[in-house]
Amino acid sequence: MSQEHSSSRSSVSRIDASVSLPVRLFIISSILWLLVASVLSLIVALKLQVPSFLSDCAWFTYGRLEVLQRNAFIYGWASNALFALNLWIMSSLARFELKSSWLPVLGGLVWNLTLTYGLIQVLLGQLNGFALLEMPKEVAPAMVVAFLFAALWPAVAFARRPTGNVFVSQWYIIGATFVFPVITVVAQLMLLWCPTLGVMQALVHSWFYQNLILLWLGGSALSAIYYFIAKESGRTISAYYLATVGFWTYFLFASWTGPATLLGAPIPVWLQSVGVVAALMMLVPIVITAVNFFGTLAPRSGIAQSWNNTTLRFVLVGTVSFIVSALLSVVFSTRSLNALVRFTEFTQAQEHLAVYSFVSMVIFGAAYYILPRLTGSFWPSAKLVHLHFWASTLGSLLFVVAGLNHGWAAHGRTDFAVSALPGLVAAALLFVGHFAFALNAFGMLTAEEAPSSRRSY
Amino acid sequence: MTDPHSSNNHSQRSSHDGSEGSSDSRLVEAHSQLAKNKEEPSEGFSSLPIVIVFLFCGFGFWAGVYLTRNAGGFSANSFDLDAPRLVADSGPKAFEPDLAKGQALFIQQCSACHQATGLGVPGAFPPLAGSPWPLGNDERIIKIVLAGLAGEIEVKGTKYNGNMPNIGAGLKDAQVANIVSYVRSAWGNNAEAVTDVKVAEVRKAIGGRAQYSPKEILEAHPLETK
Amino acid sequence: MSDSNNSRPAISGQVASWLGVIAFVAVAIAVIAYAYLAFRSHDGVDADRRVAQKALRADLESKAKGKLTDSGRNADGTYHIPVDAAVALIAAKPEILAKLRQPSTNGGEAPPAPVFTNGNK
Ligand code: HEC
Repeated sequence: MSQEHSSSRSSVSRIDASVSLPVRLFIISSILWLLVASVLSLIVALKLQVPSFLSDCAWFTYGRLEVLQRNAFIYGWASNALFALNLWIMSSLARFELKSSWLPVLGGLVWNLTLTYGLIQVLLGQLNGFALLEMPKEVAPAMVVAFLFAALWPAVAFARRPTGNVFVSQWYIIGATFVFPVITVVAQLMLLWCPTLGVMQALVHSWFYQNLILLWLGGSALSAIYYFIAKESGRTISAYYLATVGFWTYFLFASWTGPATLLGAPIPVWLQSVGVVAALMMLVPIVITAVNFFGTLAPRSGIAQSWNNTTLRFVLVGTVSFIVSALLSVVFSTRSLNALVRFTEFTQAQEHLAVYSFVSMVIFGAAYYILPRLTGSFWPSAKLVHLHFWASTLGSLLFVVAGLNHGWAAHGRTDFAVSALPGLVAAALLFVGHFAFALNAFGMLTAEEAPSSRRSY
Repeated sequence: MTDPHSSNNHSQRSSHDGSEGSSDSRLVEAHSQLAKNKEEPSEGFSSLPIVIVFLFCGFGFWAGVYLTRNAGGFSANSFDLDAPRLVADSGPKAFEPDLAKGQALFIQQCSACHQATGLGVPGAFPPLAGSPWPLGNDERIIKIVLAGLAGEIEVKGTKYNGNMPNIGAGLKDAQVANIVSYVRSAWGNNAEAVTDVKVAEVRKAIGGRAQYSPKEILEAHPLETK
Repeated sequence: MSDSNNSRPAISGQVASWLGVIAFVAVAIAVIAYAYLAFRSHDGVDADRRVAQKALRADLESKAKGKLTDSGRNADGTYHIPVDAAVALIAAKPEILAKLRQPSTNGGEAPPAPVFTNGNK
């Protein structure tokens, strides 16, 4: 760490103070959703091991709970946390003091209330058949409006930046911010409101899904990675001029990878091939980001240093997961290999790698950086931070390995047996980690209101 | 391992306003400077960009080749690389015997002698219904239809000594196949259909030969049942 | 940065930029949505086909009904239907039995049985 220590603890910067209210709202709600999602994934994993568990009541059947878990995780946890992250990073970089913070707060409230309503509907059995669009169709317009209120402020901050200078994180945030409303509205229109015909639906859905995961979640997380690596290491990004290329190729190719997930489906073969090409061309941004990150950190034993820094340690795991998940999807979008693993847990593992090991780990790292600056107090317990890190890392590793193993075992066979136990253990580990994180975060958020109860290290 | 964390905690307290606030603008500024000058930091990676450029060119080349090879001609009707012929004008279709046509042709060509009921005329024209001749090996009936049959035969216990002309010689393969398929499935007869390919084969094998004698055809294709 | 104590405009600069960004997003969505809907109206072929199919089905149905009317009708205006169907009908609605009457040969004046009569007679 190259930064000078400052002694006064009450110094929350003006910029941080201006975004404090919405960022807090987003972070608190995201953590609550994270807890909900972790409990649900524990139940879901348990059901895979003991199918009769809670299966008597229609509400708690696997089909509904699994949907609930994904939606709570993506829209509740990841999206809320990224609202906070994008707003905070962008306003820091663009020196933006938010004046009307009630607008994003309003947006956040509407977002979370509609999400709750939608998930209750799912629990009652009102599901659509499209992954991550399962909630009843009246939910989406409300969520898009809420998004416009809650999450467009980074774009405002960018538009009103004092100087013309731009850092790569800002591009990624802007890109991700514009992608979300557009893909959601278009996908809803083409799938639920005036549905397209036949396999076009699968095509539109794959486009929506890949864009949501790679561009909205992934793009936002990449911005955070660039920001924290530069910021926490105190170095400039190496081979920085490649970052522009990386950004454009990432947004160009990621949005085309949808059809690669539909290999073998009855869609025109040229679309599948374009998807495969796009998936392979993702190597360009992957190589560039890898060069950027490891070029910055590798010299002067930067990796070892970042291992000792809470934020960078999480970010590092996230970065490695990003690269691994992107490489896996490159390799397994080749037709012959894809034929082996499609329809298996392998795809689950890949998704988990992207959504959890990459995006969520980066969010955790960012939270460890942002919250102290927002509240002006410490993380209550370093032990819990350790617990969180190891539980999350090992849990997600186990989850991914279990999924990949299942995929390999299943390919081309019908008589295979793979225990669901590793998945259960992984879910339990993740639950423990998230609980530790939540404990720490809420300890911090409440400690500030009652300064006397603050613990110091 | 707790040490770095606590120190980390301390350093994280540094505020945003003074040192860090400017550190954020410095970060932005330094990087836009970098982007303008395209300067490489001295350590490591200096030879990397050229390699990367070549690498990316390679990807682009591969992508082009892959697309031209695997895009199915960018046709909206091509769905599977392995079976591109399944779609659109895929040459001659597989033959499907048409029993309705077969029946019509049978009425035209054969019913004068064998009757529409297939029962024939006792003593003159043998029955096809319940006769073992049309059943079993399909080459026997195809040959009879193509080349005709003359000589003494016994069908269902009745002797016939007639003369059946080479009716099939004037019909197309598909027509013969339809008639034969019809005969083999009508009036309680139950044998598989016959394809035009099979008829063509037989026609080629026997050439323009004269009528068969019962002995000759039964030697080549003995009756399966009595 | 701080626009300190100047008279504040009705819409602050930030909110104005925000509305601008929203307008931008809205335009993007509108363009895509319009493109989609315009493209979609082209395949009215499909809607036509659906309508034609419906018409065909209705036609066939009425023809089938017509057949029933002609060949299945008794001289006294009732219908005869296959035994299986009658059994199934009775099994589903036992109360029909009460209304059934024997195919009368002697009394043409008996009122037609409600179940098997033609609706438009
Ligand atoms: C001119 C009258 C005539 C016509 C037309 C004719 N057949 Fe024959 N068919 C005969 C006679 C006569 C025999 C018995 C020949 C014999 O006694 O050697 C016979 C025998 C057969 C036999 C073998 C004996 C049996 O009953 O199974 C078959 C099979 C047969 N005909 C099929 C056909 C078919 C198929 C056609 C139409 C394409 C046809 N015939 C048209 C006169 C006719």
